[in-house]
Amino acid sequence: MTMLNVVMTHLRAPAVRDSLRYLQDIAPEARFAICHVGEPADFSELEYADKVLVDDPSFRLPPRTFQSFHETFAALYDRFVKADPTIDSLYLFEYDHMILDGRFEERIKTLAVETDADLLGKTCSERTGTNWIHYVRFRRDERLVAHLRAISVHEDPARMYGCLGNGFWLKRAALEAYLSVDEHPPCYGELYLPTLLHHLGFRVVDVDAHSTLYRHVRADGEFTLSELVRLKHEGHTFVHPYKGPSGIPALRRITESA
Amino acid sequence: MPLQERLRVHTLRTILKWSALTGAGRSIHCEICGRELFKGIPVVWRGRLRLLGSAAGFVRVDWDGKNTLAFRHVEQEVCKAGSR
Repeated sequence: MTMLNVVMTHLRAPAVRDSLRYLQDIAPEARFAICHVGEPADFSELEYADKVLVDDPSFRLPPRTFQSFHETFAALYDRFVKADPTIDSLYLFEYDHMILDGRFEERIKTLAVETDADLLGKTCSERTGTNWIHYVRFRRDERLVAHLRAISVHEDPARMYGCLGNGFWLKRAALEAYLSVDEHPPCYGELYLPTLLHHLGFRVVDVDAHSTLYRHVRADGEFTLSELVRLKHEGHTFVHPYKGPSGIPALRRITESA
Repeated sequence: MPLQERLRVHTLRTILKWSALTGAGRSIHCEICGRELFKGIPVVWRGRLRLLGSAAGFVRVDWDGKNTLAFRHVEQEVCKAGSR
């Protein structure tokens, strides 16, 4: 069975190409796809078969307000998953979520099996009764609560979950269940995805509760190049966020010299 | 209000809040690992209990008694690091 690894990026074509080359070097067995959310010209310039362009209007809204995964999931499903029954899971990560170790697939799959997860993510946990800003924003949202009440298989439809959206893994069945929901209320993806899946009966799991894979994954506070290089040498698997243009060339040099 | 004036008011409020929290704020600890979550000052205002300073932490809260609230980390990784 195949895990489809999708890089979500808005970067120019040469930068995407470099990133892909690096990922294919460290994990030649893995299957990578590009979900481009930037300029159509950059998408066209990218000579790579497994690519899809997503133009989601929610991405143009102010940051961290109503960004959703609806369009992205639909595009990925139609382009890659629907016609390929061998794809059993999806790992969706942003361009600044750096993969340092080619064994990442095996580690995520193992963790998913051990925890019986349908969705794995950073701090992927219940947010009811927390001061998380998006829980505070949506906890009394009538449309969201009514929607959850209508679809939930659980007793308490007001329970809400959250996870960091930079890099998460989900099973094919969870993706299909998400896409089978006809209408979605306006919401923020980092709350809506785990909350919806929980209420549809799927198991959402916090990576940090069970492993150290995401020890160097955080919401804010960009890593420096020297930190990135050090963490690669120390054998860590993931780093987020790192946006600098020097990161991929530095990681490639380390990989090539190893 | 002109931008400069707004900036001045914002800076003044930030300094006042920081000074109040540093001086009079009391440490709120995680009930699991015992580490400090934030320094807070409780204020009852317009029918609500406001906990100034709590925005500095990422916390879960629930009633631990008829008049007691208990706090804990949301992030497992941070909490586990504290209890090791």
